[in-house]
Amino acid sequence: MAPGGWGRRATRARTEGGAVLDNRLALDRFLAAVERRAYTMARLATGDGEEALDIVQDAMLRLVQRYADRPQAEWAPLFHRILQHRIRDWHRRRRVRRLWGGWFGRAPADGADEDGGAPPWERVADPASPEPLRELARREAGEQILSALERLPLRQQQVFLLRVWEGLDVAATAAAMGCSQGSVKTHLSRALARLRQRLEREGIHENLG
Amino acid sequence: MKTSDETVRRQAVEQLDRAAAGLDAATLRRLRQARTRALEAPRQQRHWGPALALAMSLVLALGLWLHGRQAVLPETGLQDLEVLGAGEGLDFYEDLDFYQWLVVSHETG
Repeated sequence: MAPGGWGRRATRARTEGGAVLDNRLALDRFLAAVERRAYTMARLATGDGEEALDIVQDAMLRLVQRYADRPQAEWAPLFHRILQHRIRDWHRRRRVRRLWGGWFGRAPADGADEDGGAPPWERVADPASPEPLRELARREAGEQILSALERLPLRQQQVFLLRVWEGLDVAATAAAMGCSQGSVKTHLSRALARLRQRLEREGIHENLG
Repeated sequence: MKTSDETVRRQAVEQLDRAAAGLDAATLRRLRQARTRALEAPRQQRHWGPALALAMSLVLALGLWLHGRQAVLPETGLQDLEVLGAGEGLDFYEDLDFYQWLVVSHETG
């Protein structure tokens, strides 16, 4: 083979190697940017830190293995689709386990946290606050909001998090959830109504200011 | 006091941001490990061969099925029309095999 051929092949190999490295770095950056929020979503949906970690890891793995070569703009909707799918899977499996557990008297505790610890948001401290009492009230109110979010029906919770927190539009949320745009609007409206009722009933808005 | 949807959204987002920002060190370490494991996992190549073969088989089967329907159904329909339109009695058609045999035996005999 002509030396030029070897040279071209080596150049192409270097280019491809560089592209793979770039892709890996871009994926690393993307996953690093979404992992905290993904974990928080999974934690809210499952009420269990260990399960949430498993779900997030699974979603990361699936994205990298199957969709790493897709355009970067598609990663976010794909990742959320996988994540929400995994969360729904988890709930389905848990329903089956509870059904079997109910028959054989081994039903797992609802929302039990295996590590026995408080949720992460209850461990959040803000030493910069100048008003400890007000800060305490705010923190308690914040916990109540998160608790209200945690208690929303799964589909309402997922739609609320994707639309309101992640900022996905209706179409992207519907794609991530695998449902119609009409369902997204309905779920969001119901989620907002429930949260609003909860805030008003418990006077949480007054503490948050 | 009435709470607007906008207030609910804003307060929820604030708390969610705070929760995500305040994850403990152990959780963050495990998330980093999960990310590294995902990035180091072998990537699955999409193999279009089997899917293409399946799609072609389905198209072929559909084509054959449609062709079979077209070849048989209209012919039967025409035969029926011909029978209905003819002035022969039903006995004639019941004995058609006999007449066919008669024709053949006459030609050969």
